[in-house]
Amino acid sequence: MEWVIADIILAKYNYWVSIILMLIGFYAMIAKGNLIKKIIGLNIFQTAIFLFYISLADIRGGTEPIVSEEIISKGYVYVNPLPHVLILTAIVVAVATTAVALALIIRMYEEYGTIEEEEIIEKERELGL
Amino acid sequence: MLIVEHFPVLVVAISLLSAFSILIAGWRNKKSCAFISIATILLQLIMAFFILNHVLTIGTINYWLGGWAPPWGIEYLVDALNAYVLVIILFLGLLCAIHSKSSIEHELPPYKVVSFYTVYQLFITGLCGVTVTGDIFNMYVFIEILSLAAYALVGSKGGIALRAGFTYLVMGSIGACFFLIGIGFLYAVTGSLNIHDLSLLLPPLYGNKVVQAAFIFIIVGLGIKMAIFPLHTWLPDAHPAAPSPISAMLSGIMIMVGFYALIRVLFTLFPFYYNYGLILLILGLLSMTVGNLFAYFQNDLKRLLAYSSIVNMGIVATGAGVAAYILSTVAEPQEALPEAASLAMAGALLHIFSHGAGKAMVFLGSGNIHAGIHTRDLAKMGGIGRDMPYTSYSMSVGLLSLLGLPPLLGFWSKFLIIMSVAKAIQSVGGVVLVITFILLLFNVIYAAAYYLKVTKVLMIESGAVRTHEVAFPMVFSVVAFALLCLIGGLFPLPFIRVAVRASLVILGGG
Repeated sequence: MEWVIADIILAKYNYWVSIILMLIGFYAMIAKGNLIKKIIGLNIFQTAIFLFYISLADIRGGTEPIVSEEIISKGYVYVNPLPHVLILTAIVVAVATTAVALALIIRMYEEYGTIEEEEIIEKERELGL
Repeated sequence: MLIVEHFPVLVVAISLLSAFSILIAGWRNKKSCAFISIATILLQLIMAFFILNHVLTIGTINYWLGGWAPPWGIEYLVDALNAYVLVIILFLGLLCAIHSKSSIEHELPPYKVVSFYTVYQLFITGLCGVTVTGDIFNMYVFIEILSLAAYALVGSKGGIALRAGFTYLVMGSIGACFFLIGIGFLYAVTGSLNIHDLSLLLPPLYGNKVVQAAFIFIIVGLGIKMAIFPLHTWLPDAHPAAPSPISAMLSGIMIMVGFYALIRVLFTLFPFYYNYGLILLILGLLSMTVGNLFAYFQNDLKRLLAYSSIVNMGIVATGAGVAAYILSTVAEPQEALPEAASLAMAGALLHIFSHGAGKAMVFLGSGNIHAGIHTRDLAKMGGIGRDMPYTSYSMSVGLLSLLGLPPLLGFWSKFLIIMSVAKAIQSVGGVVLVITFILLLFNVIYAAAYYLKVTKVLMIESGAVRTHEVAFPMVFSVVAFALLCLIGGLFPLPFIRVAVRASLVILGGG
C-alpha cells in the first residue's frame, strides 16, 4: 500500500491536482444550469490544463532559463521556458473565449431576463422560436 | 527565395491586417467594409493559386517564421494538400463575402455590419492559418481563432441564435481543450511541437501509454470541431442560427478544416499504427446514417442542410477511414501504395471541394429565399421557382450535385469513394469493407429522398408566394457556385488530379 501513496500519489501530485481540477471544471460545464457557472467551469478546466503544462516544465532545483557559460560549466539545470510561452498564448485564448461567452450571456440576459438555461429554453418555447 | 515562398505567411498576415483596417475604415464609412473584405480575399485567393501552382510544379514550401529553424521556430509547411484546401477556403470565402455584401442588410441590423466584416475576416484568418501551419500548437491557436470568430458570428443574429452560439462555444472549447491536452502529452514525451519533427520522434514511442492517451484526446478534440457522429450535437442548432453566408462557410468549409486538421495530425504522426482507419470508418458510417435519418424529417430548410452536413462529414470521414484501413490491413509496407487507398483518400478530398461548393451554394440560396419571402419553412416555399428563377435553378443544381447526379461535381467524389471501396473488396476483402460498401450505397441513395424533396419544392410545386429576385451580388454568388458544380462535373480531371496529388502527400506515397 505504501508504494501506491509514495509512487503514484505523492510523486506525481502535480498531475493529480490538474486532473481533479479538470474534472471539477468539466462537471460544472455539464451539470450546472447557470450559464455563468458553466463559464467558470470552463475556466477551471482551462486553468487545470495550464497547470499541467507549467508543472511539466518545472524541474527541482532548476534555474531560470538564461543559458550562459557559468550555468553550463557549473552543471546547473534550467527550467524549460517553452511551455510557459505556450501557456501565455493559451491564456490569451482562454480570456478571449471567456469574453465571447460573457458577451453572449449579457445579450441573453437582455433578451430573456435570466441566465438559467432551462428558463431560457422555456421562454424560447413561449415565444415560439 | 522566390516571392511565392513568402505567400503562406502573407495569406494569413494580410487577412489579419485587413480585419483591423475594416474596423478602422468602418468607423468613417460603413460601405467600405464589404469592399475591403472582398478585395482582401480576392488577393488571398490569387496568392493561394500561386501557392498551389508552385507546390504542384516545383515542390513543398517551407517557410520559417523569423528565420528560426524548426523544431524551435514555427514552420509554415505547404504541400499539395494544404494548398488545395487553402484554395477551396478562399474561393468559398470570396463568394460568401460577395453574397454578404447585400444579404447582410437582410440578416443583421446596420450597426453590426462593421463588426460582422471584422469578425468574418478573422474567421478567414483562422481558416487559412490552420491549413498553412506545420506546427501543432500553432494549429491549436488558429483553430481557436477561427472557432472564436465562429461563436461570435453564430450568435450575431440574437434571439435563438444566442443560445445556439453559447452551446457551440461550450462544446467547441471542450474540444479545443482536449486537443490542447493531447498536444501537451505529445510534447511531454517528445519535447517537440513541429509536426514533421514529431513524426520522426514518435514511432519508437507508439507503445507508450502517454502517446496513446494523446491519440485519443486528439481524436475526440478534433472530432468535436468537425462534428462527427456522437459529437455532432452542436451543429444542427449552430449552423442554421447564423446569417446565411456564415452558415455557408461553417457548413461548407469550417467542419472540413477540422477534418483536414485531424487527417494531417493522424496520418502524419501515427501512420496506421493504431488502426484508426476502423475508428474513422465506424464514426463516418454512423454519422452518415444518423444524419440522413434526421435530415429527412426536417421542415426547416437550413436545419435540413445542417443535418446533411453531418452526412457529408460522414462520407468524407469514411473515405479517409477506408484509405487508412486498407493501409493498415496491408501488413507489410509495400513499395507501391495500394491504388484503392489513394483513390479513397482522393475521393474524400474531392468531396471536401464538391460538398463545399454545393452546400455553401444551397445555404446562400436559402438566404436569398429568406430575403425574398422571409421564411425557412419548406412548406411555405412552393412556387418560389417562378419568381426567383436564378436562385431556384442554381439551388437545384447544387442539391443535385450534393445528391451525386452524374454530370455534376458531387457525382465524381462519391463515385471515387464507392469505386475505391469496391476495389478494396476485390484486393483486400473482409466483412468490414462489404458492410461499408452496403451502408455507403444505402446512404447515398437515401440522401436523394430529401434532396429531391427540396428540389421539388423549389422547381415543381406551385404556391401563392409572390416575390422578386434579390440583389445582384446575392444572385451572382449562387449562380457562380452552380456554374462551378456544372463545369467541375463536366471537366473533372484537373480537380481529380489535384486531389490525387494531395492524397499521395497525406498517405506518404509521394
